[in-house]
Amino acid sequence: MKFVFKLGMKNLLRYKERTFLTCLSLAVGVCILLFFSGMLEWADEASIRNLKKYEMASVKIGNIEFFEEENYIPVEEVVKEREKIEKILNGKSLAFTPEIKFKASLINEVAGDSYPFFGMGIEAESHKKVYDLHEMVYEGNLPEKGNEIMIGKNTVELLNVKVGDFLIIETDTKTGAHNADAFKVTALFETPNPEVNKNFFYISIDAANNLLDMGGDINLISVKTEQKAEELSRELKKEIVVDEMTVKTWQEQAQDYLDLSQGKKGGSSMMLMMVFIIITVGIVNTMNMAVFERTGEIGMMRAMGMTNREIILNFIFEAGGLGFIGGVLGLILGAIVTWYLIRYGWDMSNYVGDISYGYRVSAVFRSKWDFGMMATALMFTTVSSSVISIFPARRALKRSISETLKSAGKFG
Amino acid sequence: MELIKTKDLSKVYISGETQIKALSEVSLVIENGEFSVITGPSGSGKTTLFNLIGALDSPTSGTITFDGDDLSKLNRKERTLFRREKIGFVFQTFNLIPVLTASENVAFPLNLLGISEKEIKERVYNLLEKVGLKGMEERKPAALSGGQQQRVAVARALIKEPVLVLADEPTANLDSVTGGEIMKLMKKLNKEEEITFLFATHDPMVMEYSRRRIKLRDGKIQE
Repeated sequence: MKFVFKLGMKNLLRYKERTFLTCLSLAVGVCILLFFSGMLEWADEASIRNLKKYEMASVKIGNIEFFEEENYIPVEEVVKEREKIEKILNGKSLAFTPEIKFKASLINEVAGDSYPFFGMGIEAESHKKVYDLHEMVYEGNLPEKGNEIMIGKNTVELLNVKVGDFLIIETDTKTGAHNADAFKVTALFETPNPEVNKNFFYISIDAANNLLDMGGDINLISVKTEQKAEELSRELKKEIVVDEMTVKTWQEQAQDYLDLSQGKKGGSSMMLMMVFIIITVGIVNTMNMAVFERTGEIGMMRAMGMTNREIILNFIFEAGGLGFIGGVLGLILGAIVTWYLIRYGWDMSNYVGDISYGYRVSAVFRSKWDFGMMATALMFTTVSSSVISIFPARRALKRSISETLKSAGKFG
Repeated sequence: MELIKTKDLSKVYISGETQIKALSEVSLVIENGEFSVITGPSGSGKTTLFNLIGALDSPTSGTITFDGDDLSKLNRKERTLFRREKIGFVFQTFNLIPVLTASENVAFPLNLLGISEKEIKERVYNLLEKVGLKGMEERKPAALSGGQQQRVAVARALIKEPVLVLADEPTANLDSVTGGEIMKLMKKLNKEEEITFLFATHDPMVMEYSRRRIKLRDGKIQE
């Protein structure tokens, strides 16, 4: 066995140029694989982080009807027995913040532009304990009182406004009446979550209360926890026995995203399969050539008493070595690319613009060390190369020894 | 003492609907220690007979015994092990493995037999010295002349001390001087080691060295 292994390894050096090219193609395949898998892993992890930090917190408490009709944002579906709920949350020492979420149009009266947005009425102090939005405010502060509005950088460009300008918020009140009021732009933000940047604006909860005629009601309480959201949700559902009220984890709120993410992972898997098919074709070609060119040699080895098993093993070791070297080279290349992306990122804003493809990440794509995928890639290149080599070797062994020797012009 | 005995040995190859009788009822005895040559024109059945004696192929009919054992009854695996232990092959174009050094090529049959590295090294170096390749042990085939490569091939055939060496046109790719040297070497080893040599050739020089000529024509013996 040791001898067969050594022979397989020596055969690797037989066609240096071909070995190099095959290893290089494997390396490029592995590198592409690590590039995509690292970036997808990062995008998924960062999206979830950004969903929780800027959009959905850990869990939200609200009216069942509100969640069911969330696309329409029925502001009349308010939080019932708010005091009781807040007492329970305080009892558990949880960070929470009240919210009024509503649909509205933002109008730049000067330019006459009007665009639909989600409005958020927030309580600045408690909001800071639940979300990280305040850390992403690059001009001004979270709105705390009066008719002040905080908008995203994208909205600044879209509506062509600046701090100090006025925007009109047009919306429907809790009672269904139409209402509009002017708000002064006092703060600007830019989060790593493009959905928040593009679709949300923020006013103080008091201002929202007035604008929507809420009569002191709110329609959501966002809660932050370090424990698992599902666990907290279960606990709260048991304790908050309030009619029409429910608790939704971020996963339940972000079901659309999670479905999309799964779908994309499926698509990505297809792409990765394509990469592996390319790798496989490369190995098949190389090993076919190797077996074809060594037909006479195989005949000689069989004549000398080498068993079919030993000959197949010889090719398995040779191809396995090829796959292993290619895999290791790919890991090195992939590690360099991953390191670069983690360190510097890849600004794709010129290519994708504002399109986020559902991911809650900015246009500067980064990566993540995916050691599981690295080990899988190395194992795959080594094992698949070894397995693939069995077929041409077996084909050569189907021919009789005298035939292989004769075809190579070596005997008889 | 008889080493190989064939009785009514026949081999028929089937190609589509055509039957080609390559060997027809060949009965032959090769004694231990012989240095014999099988001659005959192309298509006479030399290679077929070689293949059957060397257990590379099995006969269509008839029997072939080697040291009393019936080769026609061996299965593929048994034939492989038989060749591994008892037969040494010398090929027309040397058939050395280019990625192995001269010593590694010679060691190849011993590695298959699972002999220890230490013993292999000792035996290989001794034999390479005997065939006149001292100092060239670590050279790869590409760095050796045709004659030197054939010496390596002869050493590879002899290293496991086989009962029989089958050499097919061993001088065909060598100049007459080198061919003569190779024949002298094999003759010497035949005498010293009492190994049986059987050649298939057209080369008159090889015939001159042999004690016995077996002529084949149209698959039949014309001794």
